[in-house]
Amino acid sequence: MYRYNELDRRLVYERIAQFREQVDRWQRGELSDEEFRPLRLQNGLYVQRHAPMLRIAVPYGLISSAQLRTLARIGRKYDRGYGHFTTRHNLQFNWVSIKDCPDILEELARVDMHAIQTSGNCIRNVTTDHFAGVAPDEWVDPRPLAEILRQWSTFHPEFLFLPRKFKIAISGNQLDRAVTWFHDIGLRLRPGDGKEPRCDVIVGGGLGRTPLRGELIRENLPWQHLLTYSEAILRIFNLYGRRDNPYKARLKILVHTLGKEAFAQAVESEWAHLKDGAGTLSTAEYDRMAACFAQSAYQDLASTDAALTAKKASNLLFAQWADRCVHGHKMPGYAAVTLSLKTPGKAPGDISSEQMEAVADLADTYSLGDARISHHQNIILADVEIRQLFPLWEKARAFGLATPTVGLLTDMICCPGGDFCDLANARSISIANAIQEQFSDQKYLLALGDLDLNISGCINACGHHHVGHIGILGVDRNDAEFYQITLGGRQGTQARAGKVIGPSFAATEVPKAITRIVQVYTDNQRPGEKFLDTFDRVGPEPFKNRLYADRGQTEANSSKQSIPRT
Amino acid sequence: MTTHFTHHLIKNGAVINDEWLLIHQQDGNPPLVIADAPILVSLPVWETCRNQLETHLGIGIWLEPDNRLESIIPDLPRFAVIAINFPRFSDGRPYSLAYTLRRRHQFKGELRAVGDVLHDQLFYMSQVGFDAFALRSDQNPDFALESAFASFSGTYQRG
Repeated sequence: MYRYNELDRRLVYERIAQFREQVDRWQRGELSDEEFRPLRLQNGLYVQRHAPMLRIAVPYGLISSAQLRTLARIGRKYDRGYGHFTTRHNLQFNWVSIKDCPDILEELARVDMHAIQTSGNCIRNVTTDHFAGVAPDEWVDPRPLAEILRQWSTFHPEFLFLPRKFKIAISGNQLDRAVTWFHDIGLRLRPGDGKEPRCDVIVGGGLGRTPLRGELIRENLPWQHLLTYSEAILRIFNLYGRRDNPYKARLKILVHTLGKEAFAQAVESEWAHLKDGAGTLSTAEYDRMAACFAQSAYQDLASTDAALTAKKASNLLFAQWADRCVHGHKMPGYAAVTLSLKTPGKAPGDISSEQMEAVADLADTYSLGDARISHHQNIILADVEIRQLFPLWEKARAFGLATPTVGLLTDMICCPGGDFCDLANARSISIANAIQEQFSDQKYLLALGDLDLNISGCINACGHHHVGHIGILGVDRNDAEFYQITLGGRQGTQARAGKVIGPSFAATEVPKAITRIVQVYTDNQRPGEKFLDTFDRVGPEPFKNRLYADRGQTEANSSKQSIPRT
Repeated sequence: MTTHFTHHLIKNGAVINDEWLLIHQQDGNPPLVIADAPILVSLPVWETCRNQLETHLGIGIWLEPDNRLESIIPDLPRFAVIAINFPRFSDGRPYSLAYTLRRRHQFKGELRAVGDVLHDQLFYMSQVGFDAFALRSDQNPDFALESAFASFSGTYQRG
């Protein structure tokens, strides 16, 4: 993984000194709350429901064992012994105190970590594919360019006070595991002529109150132009994005208002001034960055392992885990492994300090010392020898990291919701737990197969509910928690937002509603057909009919009223 | 109508007196020109009265963040100062205007940040090409000179 050089390290320490001084001035009353707000947000510090929340960046999801151990120690010393991995590769501590934050940042800096630009109206942590560099379907490893983007966007003086937050995702594989169609900028890398990476540039995607799939404005951009082209997009956004209404301030609204063609034209005109200028990337820079991510420690291994096959045959639990949590790898004899953070009864994405240390040990022992955070809120060990899978599983199991449900209904993406977040309209963790309880039969879950269920506690959509096959959105109805269900959303190259199926449900009704949805699927399913394929074939009507069978016809038809206005 | 500035103006590492007067827009009427003082005029005033101001010594223009630069590009050599207003410190548009004037159009005069100009943004303002800073009146200029321009000893951005 990328290792900090002297400049990286110096800037992080200078940032801490700057922030420490800002906190002091704020405490002395020399900085108003309003003036301090963007400063603390750009250092990852929110003021939340119970306590401040500190969001720490895990750039493009890559984390070392030493960094995990530091997070574990911080969790114990300054929080309540646990943290929460988000859908954007970040780690949140929910119970820190503001005055401790500079000290926490200092501890992070010692292992080359920070909380820079994890919030605020600036360019946020760049996200990517959690199997980057090891996936068999990968065309181009996105990490060198992700790191180049990280550096370029860090303290970019022109783009620290944008109309609204700005998220960039980059991936280079066939399936697109980074949801690039739903980011402010989505970058899809593929090999051009002569294997030089080229980039398709998608802009103006986003979830939240107005879910919009992005628009492809540039195909085959040579990688050398990635920064200048991004700069052109950002400048147009900075100058012309709306600043009068935060709900209308994201890039997607500007793209939608101007139209794809006009926006693309504005970007091209701006870019004409920048193309081939000082921001153009050189091969030397790319190669230097690529070298940081090249994995040279692989051994020559056979692509199968007899002992592994035997273990799978003799141990059903291990076989179930291996079936769901072990993934293909470009190198023979290696696998990527998901360590699930979806233990039933726990908040999805939560991880205790003890578990962080266990993951660090597992990474050191079995996966060349690194791990990745996935936007599904799990942890990936990307370079595991298949002959080590069994001992890895045994150890992971002992720490509650081997729930064999990856990709299944209960592997939910879920935001912290009303239990922690100030923005939330409703709780989401309790809904996730209730659904996990309802669907605790592993055989049944396996029979249902791949099914994405995503939960957000409010319309800001941190839980990516729009792109879940089944999406659940917490809404406030006369001060009561209700949940709206969307169906048919999806990630990947065909990514799109699901559609609201009808009126919302009370919290206690949600598990039953999910059961009915699943029953409609299995009733209509052709042999081997996946949920989405069945849904696309039969449409929403059978689902709607079953879901609202015991409600009045009038109410079922009033679904439009529950769709939030934009 | 004219306004004398009461803020602290930082330039070249020092607090200096601001000799410039701001000429407000006057409902399309020609502005009252003060013969022996340099003046800053808003874009609408400049557009309606440029001929009248032709012979005035010391002309600067005052831009709002939503002003388009196109119409003033041919006039850039006439301006000794371009002031760009930050209506709120969190409005980031002046950064892009400053960048464009300096880098693309090679503006060589004084580029002045005015309005809600606070200590904690001075470093970034100087990075995009501002070289004069009319601090909001409650900001401490000595403190700014001491620390605000040296927040970081390096940057990642090029060009």
